[in-house]
Amino acid sequence: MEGYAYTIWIILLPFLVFLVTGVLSLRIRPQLAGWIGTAGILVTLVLSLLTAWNYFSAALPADGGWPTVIPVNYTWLRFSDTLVVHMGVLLDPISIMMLLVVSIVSSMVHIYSLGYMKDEPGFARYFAFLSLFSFSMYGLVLATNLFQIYFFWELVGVSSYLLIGFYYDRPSAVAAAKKAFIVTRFADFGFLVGILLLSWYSGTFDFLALNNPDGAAIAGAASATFMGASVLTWALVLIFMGGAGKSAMFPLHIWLPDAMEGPTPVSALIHAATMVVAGVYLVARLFPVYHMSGGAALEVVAWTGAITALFAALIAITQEDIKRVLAYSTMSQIGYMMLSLGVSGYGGEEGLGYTASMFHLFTHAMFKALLFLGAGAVIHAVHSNVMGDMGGLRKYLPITHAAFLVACLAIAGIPPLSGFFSKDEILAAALHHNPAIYGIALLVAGLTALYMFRLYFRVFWGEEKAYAHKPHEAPLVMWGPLMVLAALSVVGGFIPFGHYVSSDRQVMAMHPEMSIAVTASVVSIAGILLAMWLYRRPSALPAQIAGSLGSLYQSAKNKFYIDEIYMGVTKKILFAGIATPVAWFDRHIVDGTMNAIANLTARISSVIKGLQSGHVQQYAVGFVVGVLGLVVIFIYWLKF
Amino acid sequence: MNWDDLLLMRHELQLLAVILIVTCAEIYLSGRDKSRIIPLSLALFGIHMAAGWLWPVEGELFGGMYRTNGLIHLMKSILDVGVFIVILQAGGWARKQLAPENRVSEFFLLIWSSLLGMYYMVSAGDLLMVFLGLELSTLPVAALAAYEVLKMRSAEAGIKFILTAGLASAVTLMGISLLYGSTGTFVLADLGKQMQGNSLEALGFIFFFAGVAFKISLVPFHFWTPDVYEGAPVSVAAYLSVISKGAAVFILMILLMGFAPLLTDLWVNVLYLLAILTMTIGNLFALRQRNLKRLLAYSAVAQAGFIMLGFMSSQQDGKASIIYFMLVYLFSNLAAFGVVQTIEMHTGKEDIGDYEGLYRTNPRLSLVMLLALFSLAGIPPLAGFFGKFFLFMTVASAGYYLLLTIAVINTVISLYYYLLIVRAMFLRKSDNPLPLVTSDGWMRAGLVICVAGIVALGVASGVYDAIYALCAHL
Amino acid sequence: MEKIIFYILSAVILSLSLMSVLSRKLLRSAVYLFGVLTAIAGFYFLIGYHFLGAVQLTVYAGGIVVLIIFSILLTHDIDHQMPTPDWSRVAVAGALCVAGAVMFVQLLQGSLFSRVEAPEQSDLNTVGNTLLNPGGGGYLLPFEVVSILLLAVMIGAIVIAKQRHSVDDSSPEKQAP
Repeated sequence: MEGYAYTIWIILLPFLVFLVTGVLSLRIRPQLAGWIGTAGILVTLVLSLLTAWNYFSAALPADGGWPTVIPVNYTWLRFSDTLVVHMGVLLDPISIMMLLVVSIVSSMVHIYSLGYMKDEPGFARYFAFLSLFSFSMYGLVLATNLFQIYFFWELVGVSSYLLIGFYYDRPSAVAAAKKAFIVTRFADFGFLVGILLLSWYSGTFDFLALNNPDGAAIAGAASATFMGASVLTWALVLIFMGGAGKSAMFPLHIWLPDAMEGPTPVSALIHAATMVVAGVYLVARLFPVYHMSGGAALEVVAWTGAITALFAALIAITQEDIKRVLAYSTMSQIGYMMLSLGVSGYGGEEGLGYTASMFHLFTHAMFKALLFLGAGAVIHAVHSNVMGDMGGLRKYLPITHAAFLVACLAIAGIPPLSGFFSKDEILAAALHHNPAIYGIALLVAGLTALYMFRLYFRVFWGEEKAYAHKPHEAPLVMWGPLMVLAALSVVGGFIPFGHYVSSDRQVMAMHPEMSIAVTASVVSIAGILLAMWLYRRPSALPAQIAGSLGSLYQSAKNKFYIDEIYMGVTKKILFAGIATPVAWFDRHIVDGTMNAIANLTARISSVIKGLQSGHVQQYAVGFVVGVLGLVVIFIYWLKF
Repeated sequence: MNWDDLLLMRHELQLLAVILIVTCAEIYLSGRDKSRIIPLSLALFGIHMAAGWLWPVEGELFGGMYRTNGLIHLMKSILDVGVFIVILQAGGWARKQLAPENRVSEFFLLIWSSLLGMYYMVSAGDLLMVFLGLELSTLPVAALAAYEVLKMRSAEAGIKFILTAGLASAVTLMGISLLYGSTGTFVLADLGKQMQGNSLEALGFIFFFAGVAFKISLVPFHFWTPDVYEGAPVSVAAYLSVISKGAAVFILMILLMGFAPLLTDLWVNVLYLLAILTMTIGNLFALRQRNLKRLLAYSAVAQAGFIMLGFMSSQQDGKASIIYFMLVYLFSNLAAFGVVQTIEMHTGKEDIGDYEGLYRTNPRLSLVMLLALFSLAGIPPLAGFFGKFFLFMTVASAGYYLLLTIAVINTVISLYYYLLIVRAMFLRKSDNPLPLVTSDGWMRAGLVICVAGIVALGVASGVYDAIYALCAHL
Repeated sequence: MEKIIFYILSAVILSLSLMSVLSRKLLRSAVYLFGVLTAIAGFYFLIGYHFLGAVQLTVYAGGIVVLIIFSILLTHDIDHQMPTPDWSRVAVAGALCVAGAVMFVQLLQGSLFSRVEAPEQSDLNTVGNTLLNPGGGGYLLPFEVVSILLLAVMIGAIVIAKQRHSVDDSSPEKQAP
């Protein structure tokens, strides 16, 4: 398979744009920086579409599986003759799908930001960071090996840190950026250990070798055991820990809601469609390895996903900040994708979960980006994040309203919008694997409809608030992207996904199961109706229900006190239990030693001051002593 | 002598041609035009450097007294790059201070003669040539150290350098004669065959080694380093810390790894001990320095200790890690010296305290310094990280875990004093920071090359692979 | 007979070297040095290297020592007497010398020098041919390198010694000590 060499430019171009806009950010007009950035990302969008077209329109090879193409592979580091780190581009169905997701959402966000960030100081800086992020994300999805993915993984972390902390004069934004950075860094530590374990036993970093279905590379790791599980399982669980950190899986999710302090388009890009699904992508990328390791690691993935999906959906119902609702919703949906991967088998119909997960990743990226950008338009109009300040906006923001409604219907899983198809596949996969998880998933589907329409009705319907100035529709650069994403959210479900993406690369036909489709739709519609009954018109009902639920509602509203638990744990255990002794050690032992060394040095230097006194005769003495010393030590003493 | 033979000695002949042209220019240019020698010299040397990289050839001349191969060719080319940056950075200083005194061309001539000595040294086929090369590379530098004649410190630096260098040469010569006495030959290729591994040879080796260690400034042969760096003009200090040291490391590598098979046990252990001493003492003294030139001097001592780590393995990886580290160190250290030189030339300040708040007034210089210091400290993804990484890998693969631990601890210590400078520049506020300094175009070009090197070497692994491949045959 | 001459010469060299180093007066040191260098020439004659002996006499004894004496006469007061160093330095230096000497003698006794047959001829013709022979066994390359070395050192010496022609009065060095 030749002719994909240009794909390297998909990675390099945003980096060049970053360099140009970053270096010149103070020299050129901010608007120009914005246009350069947008033009750059649009070129990568075109290249990505071209790649997808070339790849999927080509004839399938004889064995019927989609091929893996590595058009570029550059040797970067050489640990030993066998363990070599490459930097390159790997094309296969899921990397191309991610390529499309990243390029489409990133392009829309770039265009949208031209309007949304228009009068911000640091406009050029913002676009430079966006380009840096896009560069890192492209590098991540196209990675050919674990080390490259880790490298870009960290780079994604850094650039999202920069973007979340964009309003660096706002203390809460800085704190949120720091929190995101630290939590994900903690998770990445597990990731790194996992990578090292896996590569140590398999002798390779390359996905191609690791994912080899006959399992030659990972045989060693599968046979070695540690604490009752194979080393391979441990390595995969640790790698999943990295993925869980980035994808905000329970209990490493605490950074995501706070990260909403960043500019809204950034949330759409990073926290809806691209960075947060990196964890899912990572598991999918290594899926054959996960599968070959036996069920334990996938079981962890499935349950983590299910718990997160339920847990986040419950919290989402109670939140007042529009962006936080969306953040928890994102968590919940990513939990969905994870559980789907966790319940998947390998090959044929067994691999339905895998396909469904990727499908949902794709559709979710479109409608969640749409939701965030729509929320951005609302925030732009009313200058507030809190739902209490909104209401009746459908008259003022007709376009946004329409787009938002499409997105809400899509995420709730109403046919024939895209979310219906992907969610349906996930439920089908869960049902065949594990009825308990299926139950949770079904419940979450209903909750999703409930909290999304709660949001929708409270913002666009309900009581009209006294606005300081009349809300107005966003400009074309902002609603244009909304329309594009809305269109994709509508038609996305009709893509025959199983034809392109499946666990064993074979073409797989997907059969919607009527019973599940009907059940799921009924549950969703019930959720919507409930939301309509509660929130369509202002009433005291929601407050009464909240009151009757009492502590459950309170704990959900307070995010189940996870943050407090973390604070308690870190304060009590880390600070009291570990930090205090460390501080004592630092003060008494380390400082003491340093002081002792300093005193000693001072004393010695006063003694040997002659040695560094500037007297050249004494330097000569030092020289001769050195020579004689070597002779004494090595010839007389050690007898060489 | 035919055309091919000339090609073998290309580096030397080219440089001689450059020296002759500049000498003629010095003679024929009238007094006022003398400052034109600076661009002329830079251009000529630039051409020489560029041409030097081409066509590596392998062969011997003068009955084996002169030999060259791909690796030696690479060493010379690396030294060329270093010298080019040094003289580029010295351009503005030469124009400002040397031109009025009519001492421009001599500066270049002396540096080049010294470089020529290094060429002959690394290409030497016998100990006589090694010694002559060593002398030719050392003596002109003594004159350079004393170049600012009217500065007391500079003259003092020159005297100190030439006296200690004289002692070192004498000891080296004694070592060579002991080796000759024991083996009856000067020729390197025969030396290894004739050795019997007796204590006389060991003694000869230690004596010889002391002289080279003096140039690398390994502890305890390092005492001259801080005084001379502080007193000498900054360009000369930079030259000493990078080029002189580099050439000495190269010759040590060629001799030890190539021609002293029987002494391997001895020298590995000697270097093991000295690496620990050098890293630790260099770092501990550097912690206490306030003067940047002295600090960089001790840092250069400590870095020399790190270089010795690469000698722990005579395999391909050891050689490659040394050469790669030298290349990285060259860019990093020259960048740091370049910034110090710029600041010193325009304001006369060279203490850490004077650098407080530098970022506010001179952001670009501060950033260059930041990159250079981070690279010296070995922070990823800058080149310095990979330099140290490969050295550590060499030590680890040779199985010296104690040494590795000490080296890592020393890396952390060194981080401390590099960060002291960074803190002064970026975090400290000063009531009267240094004014904005506009460096001249040559200096700027030099710094840009350094920064490009620091960044690019961290990314382009092809460089290491190429060096690794060349190291297959020494 | 040869042995007797060898030991006499060695004794002369050793004692004169010591006196040269220990003398408090510069001029006397230089004269002792002259004696040392002449005695070394005696060694060359002893082993039949007449040419080298002659070179040693003319260049070192005749040329360099005279140069040293001239420079002492020009720069220093001839009667200048250097201060006596304090005992601790003398002790350190003495201890080092003794230690070094003991070590050396001991190690040399334990090992054998390999014998090199003296070249049959060391007349001017052979020396000249060897010196300028570019092939194997010739020393053309070192000879040329030495000439470059001398040139470089001369340039260095001149540049340090030479007066500044045009001095910019505002130059900061002007005020420097």
